[in-house]
Amino acid sequence: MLAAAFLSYLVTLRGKVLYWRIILLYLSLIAVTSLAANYLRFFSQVKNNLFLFHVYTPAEYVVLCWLYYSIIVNRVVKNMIFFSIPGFIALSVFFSIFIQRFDANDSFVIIIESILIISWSLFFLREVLLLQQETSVIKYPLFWVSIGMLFYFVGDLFVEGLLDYLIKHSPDLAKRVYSFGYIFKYLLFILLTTGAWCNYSPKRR
Amino acid sequence: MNNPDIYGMIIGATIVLLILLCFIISFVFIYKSRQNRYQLEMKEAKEQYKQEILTTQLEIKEQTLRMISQELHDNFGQVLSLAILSLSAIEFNDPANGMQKVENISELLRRLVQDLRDLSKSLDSENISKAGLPAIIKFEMDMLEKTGVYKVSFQMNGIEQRLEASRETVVYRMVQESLNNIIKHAKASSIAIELNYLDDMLYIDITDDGKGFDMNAVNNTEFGKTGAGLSNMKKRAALINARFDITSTPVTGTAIKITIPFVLQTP
Repeated sequence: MLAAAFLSYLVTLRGKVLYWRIILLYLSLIAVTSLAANYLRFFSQVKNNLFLFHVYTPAEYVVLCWLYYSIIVNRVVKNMIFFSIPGFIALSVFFSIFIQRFDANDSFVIIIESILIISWSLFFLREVLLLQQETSVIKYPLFWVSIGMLFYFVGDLFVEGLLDYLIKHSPDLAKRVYSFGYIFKYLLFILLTTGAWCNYSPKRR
Repeated sequence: MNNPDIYGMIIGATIVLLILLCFIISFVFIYKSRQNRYQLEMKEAKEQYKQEILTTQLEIKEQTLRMISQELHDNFGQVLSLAILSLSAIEFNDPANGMQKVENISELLRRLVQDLRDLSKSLDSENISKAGLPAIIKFEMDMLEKTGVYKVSFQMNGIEQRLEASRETVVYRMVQESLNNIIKHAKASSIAIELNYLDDMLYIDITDDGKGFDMNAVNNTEFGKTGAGLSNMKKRAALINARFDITSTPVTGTAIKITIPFVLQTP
């Protein structure tokens, strides 16, 4: 599904549109991190690959903030997004060093990231509703991208919110809840792919 | 994973998908209804604008006809009466005197023909779009000066830039009404109009040395009512994205400032 989403954005690439490239970058980041995590887990001596996600989470946040910064019009929200980036990176480093170390799941940072990305998604959807700049919202790629981000991070918030507690008290249930989180990931890729194709016309290129 | 887990996953996935679907449908529905409402508002605004332009054009025509009627009565009627009187007083047995009177009558009729030509320009409804705002406002000022009642001054600074025809019509009407108000109420002896063309704005300043008025009492007097009403002029100005400001004191007279940006601002 990740490959399908990546290829979709590559095929329908709008040369002059910045957000298209940012989404490609985001998908590349997911692909690289997933490959590295799987390699470390299955093919190397290193069994605990959780440190990767301590790097991945802030990188993901920076890329997504860049996306929302480029598409949101409201100056106040843009400033909020811009100034949240260094704050989040600093928080992430602090948590990784002192609270949830590199060999543990960085659930706190992911929860904070989820809340922030959910906020930016909602701000953007509100703007789409108020500005009325698109004749058909279903054919607006960023509508699908934003819905995908919203649902993915709501799911992530739910999963990561429960995970640490469940790992301590019921590891089996923790595994099930973690597997359930994959539904949101699949949804994200499906909705991103929908966004790539919803407005595609070969003649327009 | 055992069967209960798989069933649990399927149920969970279905619930999530249903919530997603409901969210998307609700969002699209709300977007569509807001879009329809917005389009309706735009349509109403356009209709109102068209109506306002038509009303303005009608008022200009009425004003023109009133002016013509006044000119015919005051100017042409009197001059022709004088010519008839002079003709009937010619003494055929005094050729020198008779020739002088004929010369005087010819001069009167020549001036009358010139006045008729000037007046015919105002009958041309395309006048504003052909001549432009400065020319048509100057023409109004010249007609005022001819009455001999007012000392007029007209000045234009900067390079003339044309506005859209409908906006020029509304601006001309506002200037016309301002002059009407001065004639009717101000008891002024001098009127000045200054047009300032800047890079992005046109400023029109209309000043008189009349008795002015109490701006707080404006809404309670005939100023607040139709046509010539100040609120009506402010409303018209807002319609074309312009500003209409007025300051007046009983001592210094009245100053009107109309500010028109060349580019219409979008939201």
